[in-house]
Amino acid sequence: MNILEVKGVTKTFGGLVAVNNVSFEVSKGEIFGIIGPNGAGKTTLFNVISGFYRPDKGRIFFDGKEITGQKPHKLAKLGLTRTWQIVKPFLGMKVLDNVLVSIYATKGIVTGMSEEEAIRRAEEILDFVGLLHRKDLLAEALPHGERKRLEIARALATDPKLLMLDEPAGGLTPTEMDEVMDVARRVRESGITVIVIEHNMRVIMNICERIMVLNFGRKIAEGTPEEISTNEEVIKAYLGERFYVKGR
Amino acid sequence: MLGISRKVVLETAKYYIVAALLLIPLPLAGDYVTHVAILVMLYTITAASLDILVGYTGRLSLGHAAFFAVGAYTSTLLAMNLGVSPWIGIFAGGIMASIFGLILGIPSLKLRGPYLAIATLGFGVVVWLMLINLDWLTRGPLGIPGIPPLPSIGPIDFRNKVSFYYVALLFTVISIFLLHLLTKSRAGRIFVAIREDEDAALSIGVDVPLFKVYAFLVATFFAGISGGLYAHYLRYISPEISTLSESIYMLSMTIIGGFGTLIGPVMGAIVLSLLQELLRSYLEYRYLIYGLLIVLVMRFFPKGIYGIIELFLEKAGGGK
Amino acid sequence: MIVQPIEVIEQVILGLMIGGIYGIIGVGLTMIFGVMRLSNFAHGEFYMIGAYIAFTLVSVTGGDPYIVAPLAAIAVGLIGILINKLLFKPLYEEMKEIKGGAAFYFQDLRFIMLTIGLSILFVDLALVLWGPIPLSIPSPLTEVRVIIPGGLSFSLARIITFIVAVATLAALYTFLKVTKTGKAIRATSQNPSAAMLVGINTYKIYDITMFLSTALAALAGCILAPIYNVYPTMGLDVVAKAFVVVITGGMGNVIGSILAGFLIGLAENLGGLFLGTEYKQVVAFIIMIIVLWLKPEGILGGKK
Repeated sequence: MNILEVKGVTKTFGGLVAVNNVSFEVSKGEIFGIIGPNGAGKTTLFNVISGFYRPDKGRIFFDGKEITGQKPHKLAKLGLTRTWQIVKPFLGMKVLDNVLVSIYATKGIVTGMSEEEAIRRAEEILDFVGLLHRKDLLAEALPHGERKRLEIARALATDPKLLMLDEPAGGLTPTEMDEVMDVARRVRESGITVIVIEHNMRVIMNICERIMVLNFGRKIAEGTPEEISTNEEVIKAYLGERFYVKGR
Repeated sequence: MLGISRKVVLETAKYYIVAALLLIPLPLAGDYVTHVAILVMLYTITAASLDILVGYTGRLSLGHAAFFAVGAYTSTLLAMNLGVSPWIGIFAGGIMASIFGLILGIPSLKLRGPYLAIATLGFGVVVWLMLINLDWLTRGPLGIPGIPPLPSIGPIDFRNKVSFYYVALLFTVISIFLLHLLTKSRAGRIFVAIREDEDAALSIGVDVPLFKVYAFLVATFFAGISGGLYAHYLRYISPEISTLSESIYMLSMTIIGGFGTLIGPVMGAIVLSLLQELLRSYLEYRYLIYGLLIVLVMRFFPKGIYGIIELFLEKAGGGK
Repeated sequence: MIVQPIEVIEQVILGLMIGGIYGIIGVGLTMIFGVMRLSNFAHGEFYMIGAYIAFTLVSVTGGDPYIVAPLAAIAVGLIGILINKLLFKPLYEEMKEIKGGAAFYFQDLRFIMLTIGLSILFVDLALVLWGPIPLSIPSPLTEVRVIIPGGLSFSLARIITFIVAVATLAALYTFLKVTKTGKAIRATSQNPSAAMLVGINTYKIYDITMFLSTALAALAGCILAPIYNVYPTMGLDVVAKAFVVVITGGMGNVIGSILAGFLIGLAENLGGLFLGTEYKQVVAFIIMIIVLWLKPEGILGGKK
């Protein structure tokens, strides 16, 4: 059963084709990775799926329903939530309120959960990502690694069926990276499907079951981590260059 | 207005009841003080309502006086042309101000920063020009004299400053209390989320346009109420109350007071109005000092008067 | 009311004449926004101070307002630099460690309020120094009338104003296109961080931009002074329109502002003719609202 089906999506900016006729499917319960060199169109693809951009061509189905061109806040209520590569916590709000806002926004401010229930739920999620001890701090007091996890917590609080993580390990120390990977795995274990864009090969190879590779807006490969790491075109387009950088 | 426990409502209410009780004896200080106090209170309502927009939701407005004026003119015209009781008219004025708020709020949804500032400024100018040019309705630049006072209740005559003072006090305390609850409510926290990052708010399910409009509705409603009270207190209004300088005056109260704190704008309204009164004797140097004060506060204390007090308290606390 | 063709022609010419002035004022405002990301609500006051300085120079030296105009413009430009060094630069220094979230919005608010404070201060300063009564700067040129075919006549002062406006705009455009400083200003406007990386001294560019912007506003005040009166709140009457011009032209877009200046000048005068003078002021705002609605990046689109 597929939770997400992307069919022939194209997005252009002026003359530039950022995403070119990309199709893929994500089945319920997996961790799906999207990789590709800088400017390959990964984040644009995320923006299209999450409703921030309208695709020029192509259709998107989520949980059996067409969602092409739906507004982001409606998608979040349907259970499709994304995080941001450059984290966007609500810096001037308390950590707990950051998470509560998600609950209010998706469950409604009048009809939603009772306040006690909402707070209990928010604390549960903060505990899940390991930030419960920070709940009364302002988000701006958190270091970068914790902001990344707050971002995931905030997305989880919308009660998603599909969570799309945009470079969750970007700019993190190896220890912080392990923490984020652990969170991603546990998210999946709780029954939420995860799509992750990542630059870091260690992260992507470690947690993903299937990987799609983009280059210049096109899909050039899809498969298991083993298949991808032995795919010649991928090595040429992406991994080779990456590995040289790594081997410095 | 949900998301606030009863306990919080009652605790917050306590402060407002205490504040109201403390302000009850003020008219003993004489007519002049009572008069100034009434005007200051009306300004606190507008400054606090503007804070919902500017401080909490992150929507800059340079046209707030227009909504104050819409409230004032609506209540006045209803009373004078249709004989509607000002007690009802004041609320009708609030609602009419909200309708104008929608007219401005919906088309300006996508605008930000300076663009929004100029759009709201332009809207204010258009309202001002309407009040001047629709003279069959508004008597144009001459303004409307002889506005009926609030109808008396039993023996209480509201032409009397002291009686009106208590009406204004009641309205002010209730308005600011409601706005205070709003800021603590679920909607209030969603407003702040929009101010902090619109895209992030969208991505977690916040219907950003809806809440922006909501903030506009609330802010303009209270500005309209304040305008209605003003009209039935001074019993004379003219298009002057809707000018850009009035809007700027209101915005400076909100910002100099310390936006995004609600209590800051209330202090801003009190301090700036009192300053105006104190500087009255300096006549032409008045705005020189006023302008200089704004420049200095913005240069050295971006968080305004509220920030200054916070610093003071921190130092006092640290000294112990 | 029947409108004669000759009246239309007259209003078109008058519209273009005032449009040139709107262009000059708008260009200064848009440059400040483009380069410094600052909405200068005190911009109108530089226009006002320019007119007053011209008035003072004329009454002291007995010279012609058109001759003293450059002096007044330079004097106001120096005031602009001073304000930049005293007030704006320290704020930019503080902004260096700016965080995300609402921090940029807060900075916007701070700058807007700061310049509003400056505006209030300057208006009252003019009131204290020169008094509330509108002053007029006599120039013999206002008396000379130039008759053009068709029976229309315009004062020589208006024609000179128009020529000065067009020449100034052309000079500014050439300066920005050709000179090294002009290119640095444009680079900073397009991409501040890249400009810094290639070694452009941002604060120096800010100084130059402030100088140009305020001097242009002052120049507009000087050359209009013989036609209109000089009074303390004249800047407030013009600043809203300057912002309308800037938004219509696209914020930060110099060419856009020049075109928008002429467009607004034309539309206003024709609107006044067809709808009645009381609606003259509304026309500009209506144009702005339409532009904001359909093309928020301004009439020229995204180009700079």
